[in-house]
Amino acid sequence: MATSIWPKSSKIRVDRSLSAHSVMGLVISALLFIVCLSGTVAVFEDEIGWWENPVTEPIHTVSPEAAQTAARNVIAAQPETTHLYLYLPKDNWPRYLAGGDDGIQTANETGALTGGYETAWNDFLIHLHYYLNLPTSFGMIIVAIFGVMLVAMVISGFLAHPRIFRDAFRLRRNGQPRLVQADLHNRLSVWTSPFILIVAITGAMIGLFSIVALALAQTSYDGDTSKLSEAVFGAEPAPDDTPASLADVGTALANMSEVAPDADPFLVVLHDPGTSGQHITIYGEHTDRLIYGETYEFDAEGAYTGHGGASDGVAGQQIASSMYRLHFGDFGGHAMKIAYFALGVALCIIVASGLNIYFLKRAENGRAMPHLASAWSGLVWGTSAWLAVTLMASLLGLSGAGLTALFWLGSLGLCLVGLRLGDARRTGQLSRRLLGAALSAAVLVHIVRFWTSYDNLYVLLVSAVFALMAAGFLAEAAGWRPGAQVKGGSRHAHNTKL
Amino acid sequence: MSTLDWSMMTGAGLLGVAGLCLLFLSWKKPGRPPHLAGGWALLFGGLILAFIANADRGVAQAAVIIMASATAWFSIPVIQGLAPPVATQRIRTNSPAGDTLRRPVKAALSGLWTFVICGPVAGGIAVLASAALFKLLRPAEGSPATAGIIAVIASVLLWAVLSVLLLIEPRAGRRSAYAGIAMALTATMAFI
Repeated sequence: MATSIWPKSSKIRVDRSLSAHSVMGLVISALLFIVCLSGTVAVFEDEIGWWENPVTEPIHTVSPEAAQTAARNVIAAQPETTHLYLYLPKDNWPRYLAGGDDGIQTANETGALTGGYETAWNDFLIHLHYYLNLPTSFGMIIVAIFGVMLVAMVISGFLAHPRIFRDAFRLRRNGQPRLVQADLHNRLSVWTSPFILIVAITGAMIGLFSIVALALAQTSYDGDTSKLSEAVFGAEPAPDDTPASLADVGTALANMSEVAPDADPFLVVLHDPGTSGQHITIYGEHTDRLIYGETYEFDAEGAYTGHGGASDGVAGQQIASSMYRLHFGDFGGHAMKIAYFALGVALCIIVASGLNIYFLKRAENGRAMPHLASAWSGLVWGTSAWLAVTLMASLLGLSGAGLTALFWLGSLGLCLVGLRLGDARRTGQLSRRLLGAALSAAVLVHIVRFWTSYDNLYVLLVSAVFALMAAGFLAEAAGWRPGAQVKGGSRHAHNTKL
Repeated sequence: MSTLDWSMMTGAGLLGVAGLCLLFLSWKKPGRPPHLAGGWALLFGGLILAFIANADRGVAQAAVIIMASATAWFSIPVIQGLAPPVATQRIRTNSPAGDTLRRPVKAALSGLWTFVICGPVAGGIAVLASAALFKLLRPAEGSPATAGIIAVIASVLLWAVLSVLLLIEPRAGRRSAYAGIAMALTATMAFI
């Protein structure tokens, strides 16, 4: 028999770790699943956002003149804005957006504002993932705490499973259902653990930054909460409100190719436009770095004045600037996004199978909870289904609080239906049927509304993916199963399938 | 990225997948340390090559390729169909009443106290410990950004570790005592 390279674990420690892992899982799984599910879908927020409102043609480049024209048009539309934004097209995001404090619009190749950037469902999805639809400052901290708890789940999971590396590839398809679920849970967990840790830690860091900054302000900076932020992200110069002509954004953009030829500019921010204190920041993507972007600073005439240091500053600045891309998988085009989506789905399966194991274990011990298991099935598949329903509803004109209410009330309703049915398999099937039907309906509504935009490859691809997913869920709910029939469970067994 | 960089990234991905294959072989037929060591060596070799090709972004890309490959490997049996999670024993609805059922209020209060200790209290300890760490690391001159970010990361990791350690402690009294002592110590260190 092969000997393990790992130190032998104490059984008591393993049992206690498993108990801690279970307790934590029971407390956080429901909301954690929603955060993971919404995050998984949000990997494609740009693509889905464009699909949602595809009224503009793809734009691949923006000339300095078009940038200046768009800046002038934004100021004309929003004269009181304190910041002006130009989102430039990227390789995997061929769009041009411009706006200010009062909103963003699409722009065409000449810089004329064309409107049509309302993406109600995308906004809802992001609000759900960032804040769980709670008030933003509070919600972000709550979601961050779920990130911390996910890290704790990884730690307790490793402590509770001393054979986790020895069993690294064991995945039983048949046999005792709890062991099949445990294999699925453990194998996916161990192989995706770097991903889970990265998304959990970066998410928690983003959300808890303000709390830690507050603590450091009290203990090290006499209550000044801005010190840490300024050290990490830089400070804005003092404003000078004396009126002035609009800054030369076009010249600044033209100068970028000389200042940083390897950086791809993707965002222009004009601070305090139309004042003597105005200055321009251009974010440039460095395709060999994880940083969100280096910030290149220009004065009102478009002359280069320096850069922020995200690419070559102190380590803290570089790490802080790398959080966003690491969290959302935006560091390798669509290939990385697809991989992140797959890993996100794996994380959702890990969370779902975790509670599966709990319910199966209770059933094995003669303490089954069929109604709660069914409610859990309603939550797992119901939240997925109601995301699709809200997508369809947003295409029909629902937005804002309406979408939030529809999602939460609908998901709660399906949980209650599951609780009432006490049949997890049936609850799951009903929810998957709803998911498939809602996705199909969303695609149909989209085709009717935006038929003329279907010469855009992005739109066509997203619709095709949604249609395929819908077909898959409807077929599965109708009883079709890929692959061979597998053995497992007893004919008389109580039904706790999720 | 240049052609050479692309070639190195492709090589890094292939090394990673080859490493996974070797690890699988070492799992399939145990007792072959060279396979195990070789598998890990190939995985790390892939990451190093990716770093040379595309710096930190390359490492992240190679790591994602390796994890996605492993996930794809496990998706095959999942797609083929797993045994449904159906309980193999009949349910005894008359389960023996546990402590929770006999004394529900006490059990609920105990659970709530455990939640408070392992959640907000552990979080408070972690943030205060991070503040103390920041004081230690902050340079007298220059940017405190690195010390600040280390403090933020430390607060996340410490909170997670403390939650687990406190939950692992089975006795509620000791758990509370440990948390209280840690809170007092870290608060003192942070505010000194």
